[in-house]
Amino acid sequence: MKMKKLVSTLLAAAMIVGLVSGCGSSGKSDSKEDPASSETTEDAKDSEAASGETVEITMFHRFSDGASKEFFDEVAAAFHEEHPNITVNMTSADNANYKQEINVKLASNEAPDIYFVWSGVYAQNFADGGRALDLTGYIQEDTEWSDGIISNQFGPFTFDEKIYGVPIIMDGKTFYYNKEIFEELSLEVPENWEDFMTVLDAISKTDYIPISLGNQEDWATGHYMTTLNQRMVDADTLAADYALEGDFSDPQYVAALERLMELAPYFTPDFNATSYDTGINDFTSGKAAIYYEQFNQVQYIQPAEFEWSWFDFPDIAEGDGDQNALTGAPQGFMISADTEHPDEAVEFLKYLTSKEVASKMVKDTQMISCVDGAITAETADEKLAEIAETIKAASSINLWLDNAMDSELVAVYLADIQKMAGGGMSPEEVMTDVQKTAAELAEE
Amino acid sequence: MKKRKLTPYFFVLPGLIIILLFVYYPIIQNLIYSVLDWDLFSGTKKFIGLKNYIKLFKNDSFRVALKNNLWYIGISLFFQVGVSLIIAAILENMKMKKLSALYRTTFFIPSLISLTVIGLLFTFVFEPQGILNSFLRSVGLESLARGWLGDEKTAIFAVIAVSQWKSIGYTMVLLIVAIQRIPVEITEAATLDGASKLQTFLHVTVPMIKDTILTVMIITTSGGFLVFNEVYIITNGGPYGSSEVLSTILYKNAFVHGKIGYASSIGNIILVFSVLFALIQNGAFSGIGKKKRGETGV
Repeated sequence: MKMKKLVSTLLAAAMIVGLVSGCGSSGKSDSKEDPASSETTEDAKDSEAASGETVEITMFHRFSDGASKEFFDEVAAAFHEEHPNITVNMTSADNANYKQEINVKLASNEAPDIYFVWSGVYAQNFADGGRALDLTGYIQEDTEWSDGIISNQFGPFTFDEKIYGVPIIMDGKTFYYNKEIFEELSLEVPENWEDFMTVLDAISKTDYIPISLGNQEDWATGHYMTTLNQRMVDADTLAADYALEGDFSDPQYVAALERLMELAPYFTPDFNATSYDTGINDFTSGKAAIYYEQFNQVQYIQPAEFEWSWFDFPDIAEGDGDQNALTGAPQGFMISADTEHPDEAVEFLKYLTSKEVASKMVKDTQMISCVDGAITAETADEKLAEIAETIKAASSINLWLDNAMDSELVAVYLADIQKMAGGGMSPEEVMTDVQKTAAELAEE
Repeated sequence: MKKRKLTPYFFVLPGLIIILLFVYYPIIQNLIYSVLDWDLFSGTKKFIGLKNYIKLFKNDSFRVALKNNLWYIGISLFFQVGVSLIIAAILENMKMKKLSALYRTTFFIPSLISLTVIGLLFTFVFEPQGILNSFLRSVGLESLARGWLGDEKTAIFAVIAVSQWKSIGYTMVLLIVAIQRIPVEITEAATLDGASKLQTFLHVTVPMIKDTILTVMIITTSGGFLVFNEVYIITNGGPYGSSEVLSTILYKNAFVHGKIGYASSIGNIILVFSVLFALIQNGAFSGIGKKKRGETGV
């Protein structure tokens, strides 16, 4: 009996010890791993004498599959060839989850040295929160490198006159149109709003959908309002309101929403119930005549078996905004403020935005590089080159609503726009809601 | 004597430590977070008392979400406990055992498919030009055809319907197992006494599997409070927030808006409601149990 009791007590004690030490030892083995793995890279490259110590930097991005993921992995490997003492470890999350994962990583001391960001307020949150390194010095120091990047693309990464990010890909929103339908109905590309209405009216008399729209997720109409706000509202007023320093009382905001209501009858029927995929498929299958989409999505338009092209958002004579600005935010990379190797991280970003690597990026992924001269006849087709020229020529870059203002305000704004477009709200009610939310947020 | 009583506790200690560390410690942490104004981007934490809760109860989207969760629970209880109990009883009463096994498998398969796949599948079903509307049009019910996920009146119910389709087979199997455990003697005795099939079901089957029914009810209810995947994949709370549930607004506040404190307070509300509902169901059932026992004098 006694023996049995002793054994069972010991057994229980062993289990507890096992549990506790289990936690401890796994931590220990983790820390052991680091020197071990860097040792192996040292052995492999045997470059210790040449460059002193070896450095590992981590990079976290949102290109989690296909050609773009391959491109980043290849660049990391090629960079290691040229700089044997620096190893870049790539990790990624898919587009939908990236925003959440990077937030958690940055908040939990697992910050990657280099991380992907969308520009505008999204990036500003990291800059203001002290999570991003000020890169102004690096950019001014090496103008040979930084002048190679198209200059209007740095703007959306600049806050309080300091540059926090390096742009990689640029973007723009445009009306793609089916040339064959336009010819069939003998329509001209519209230059201004009145022409646009005439064109839409003519198409609506046929079986074609005038404008294809999948608005199940509310950002699609949000993108229309991004441009309409920019065209209608004075630029300074817009900037102040988006930064929560104004009160959204300019009557042009309501006027901008009314323009969207003018378009609503020409969208895909039941657009609030239509998915994004259906929206794009209706255009590429020839069911719809016009489709508002980003330049970056051009690879999904390319399979269309008809002649297509694009036109700029029509000018609105009554608008107070710049009619030549282009809606579309660049995307790029920031460096963590906590990084132990800022110089190496910048070195890698320089490599990534060198003309040679950028050309490879365009060729491999068809993404629209911010590097001047990366898109040529050799790396891309005529259309992509034209797109690059369109973006380069824009007077300024107008950020998406969801990149341009506070995320809580934008959630209300976008949801209300969606409801209004579906007929559930008036433009005035939308702006009352926005004003109220903006006032509450400004108080906090 | 004392020592002997102590030994068993050593054996449960490892399990207890794990539970304390991974369940109760986070709950307490969450309580602390919920009284902070904690911004994920800047990392600043500030004590603000109960302001998060006050803001929450004043918020329209919280009320919409709570209402949707209650619909979710109500409809799920009806289908996943009520209807699934009836199906289970019918399948167990079928003369052809092979056919009943076939039905059982057919009903059960949806609960084996990944929710992500089901969610994507059903967005196609619910599209304006999707399968559901084509079906309605082909049988002459055009008036019912609509953009199911784009209409604030139908979006949440479309999501709830998917959930029933997926889960009914699972609870059905749980109930079938319980029915199979009822000793044959009891049902035979009831039949000999002249009880009809319906009477046997109501007075023998249901009371005998009462515990399983309670378990299924609690699982369904807490599932209704915690529901996230279906909503996130199919509508993501849209259109204009009409199909948000508590866990999707928690997620958005925590990871999109970076308001950890506020999100924690939503988490605590979910916890309170789940515990409350479980206690009510438990209490109601033990009440019924006592009364029955008193009547029959067992």
